[in-house]
Amino acid sequence: MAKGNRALLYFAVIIIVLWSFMPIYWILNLSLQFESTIYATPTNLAPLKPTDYWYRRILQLPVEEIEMAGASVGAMTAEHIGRGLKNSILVALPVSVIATAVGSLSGYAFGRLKFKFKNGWLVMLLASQVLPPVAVVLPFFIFFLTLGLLGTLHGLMIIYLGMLIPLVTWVLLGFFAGLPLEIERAARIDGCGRLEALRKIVLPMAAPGIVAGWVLAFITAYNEFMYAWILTTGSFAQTLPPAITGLFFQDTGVPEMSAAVMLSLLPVLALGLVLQKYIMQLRIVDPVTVVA
Amino acid sequence: MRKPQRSKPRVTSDQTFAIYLLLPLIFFTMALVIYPLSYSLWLSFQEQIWIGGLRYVFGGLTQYAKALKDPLFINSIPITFRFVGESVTLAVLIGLGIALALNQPLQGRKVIRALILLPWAISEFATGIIWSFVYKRDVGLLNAMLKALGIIESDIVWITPKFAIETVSIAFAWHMAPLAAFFFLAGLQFIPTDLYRQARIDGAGVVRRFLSVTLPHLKYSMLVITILITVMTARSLDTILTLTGGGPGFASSTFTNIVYVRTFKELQFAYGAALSWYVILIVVILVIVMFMLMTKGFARGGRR
Repeated sequence: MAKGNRALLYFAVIIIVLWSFMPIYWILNLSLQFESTIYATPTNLAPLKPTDYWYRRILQLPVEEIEMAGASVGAMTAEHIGRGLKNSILVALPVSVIATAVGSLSGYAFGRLKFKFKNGWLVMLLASQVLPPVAVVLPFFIFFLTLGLLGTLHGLMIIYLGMLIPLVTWVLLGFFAGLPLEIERAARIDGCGRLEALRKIVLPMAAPGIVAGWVLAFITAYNEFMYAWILTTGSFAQTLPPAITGLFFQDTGVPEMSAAVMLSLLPVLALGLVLQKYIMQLRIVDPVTVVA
Repeated sequence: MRKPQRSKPRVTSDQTFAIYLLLPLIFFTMALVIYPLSYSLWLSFQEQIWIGGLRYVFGGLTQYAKALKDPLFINSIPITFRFVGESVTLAVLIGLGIALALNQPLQGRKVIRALILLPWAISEFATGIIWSFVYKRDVGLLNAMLKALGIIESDIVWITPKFAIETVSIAFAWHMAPLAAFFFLAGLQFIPTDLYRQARIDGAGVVRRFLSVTLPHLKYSMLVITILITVMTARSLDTILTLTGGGPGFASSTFTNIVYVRTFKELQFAYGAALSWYVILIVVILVIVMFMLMTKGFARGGRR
């Protein structure tokens, strides 16, 4: 490549990295300062004296006595974030595991087997992902109200299962379709039953895809906002997204809010890195090929 | 006619095995699709009365007629299309740019690739909150940067009635572009390098190579990702809710936001259900139209 092109490429990459990370860097920057330095002119592009004060307060770790005026964090923030994080994980973990197990089976069925109305089912699957949550949450609200499931983790889990199983199925069917058929066929000829062949041969081969499916399911459940907002806000089952949004709408101080958001991002950022390792193998482009 | 004899009796046919495997999926999909849809369909034909608690009486098509005369809802439709058009275009173009740059041999490419996926892992509501700190007048990143570069002297208010929807579109494109980038990166793997060598021998420059080798091969990825992001944008609400709250006024209220306001802020359940049905209808028609375009494009262009 010519030298000029090379320079242009590096320039482009720098722009891309800045575009992707400046917003995240900015809340990190705000979260490491006190209110007094945040509003300084000119605005500090980096914290001069970084402090972990807000993180310690939210995580309820001991803090040093400081004489900063206005450096008080509501006990509410700590309480809401703590409980929200616990609830989010209590919901996302079991739900993503079950959805991955069930979704792998149906993903296999769609990717490998021939059956009647396959395309019809696929369209149904797609349709379930297309519906805007805000347009379907009201019936659940009323249903949960009558059953006493409003403001419980169980109610939310049922909805998330319904949301994630089709998602995992959709993501995995292309992956299953891409696995070599011969080994499974050979096992079947050797007298393996269908379920046995699936369990012993196909699922182990599909392990990377299944891991990716699980990570995707976990992130989706952990990030889900609208159902949680309508069905758990203000209750003890409130998950992290409504907790954070609630604090945000109550005009929580800038550094405190930034620290809360940064903390809530950590699990997904970590899992996002895991996901990208596998995402190329997922062949998420393929489901459409199966339908078309 | 004699049926052909099978050499081995099959234990389970594809058909039955598939049904066993699909049962849980069918159950949960039904529960999440059929139940709320049929309930909100019923609700949309009712009128609600608040005498002695909440009651419903059959109202026929009144709620649907009301929606057509609701200025906020009617206004929200062009706003939605503007939002969808802008964020999809931005996300696809930025995603394409990222993919093309990161497809080049580059030091640390793997690390950068891993990192640029991250905005996509961040939820839509958090995207809204993060970007609200970008646009903020006093502590916002944008004003701070522009001032540091000496481009502006006094703070600018970014979220204005005129451009509120653009601010949301940019934030949403930030969230979606990595997904587009990964689709394009996947698509780029299928382009035979011979084609580039051939094109270079024929004296084609960078632009020419891009237009006649890269772009035609990315047609399929482009169609898929465009549809995917269109659907995700049209149905989204979280980013708007946290970034602008649909405002200022109702300047950035897409139709999902109007459904939210009418149903959960004003507690007009029956009316909200009717609005939901309009929204669902528009989204589904959008999907079907794009799906038809895509399968057509696929049939014509092929993939590899």
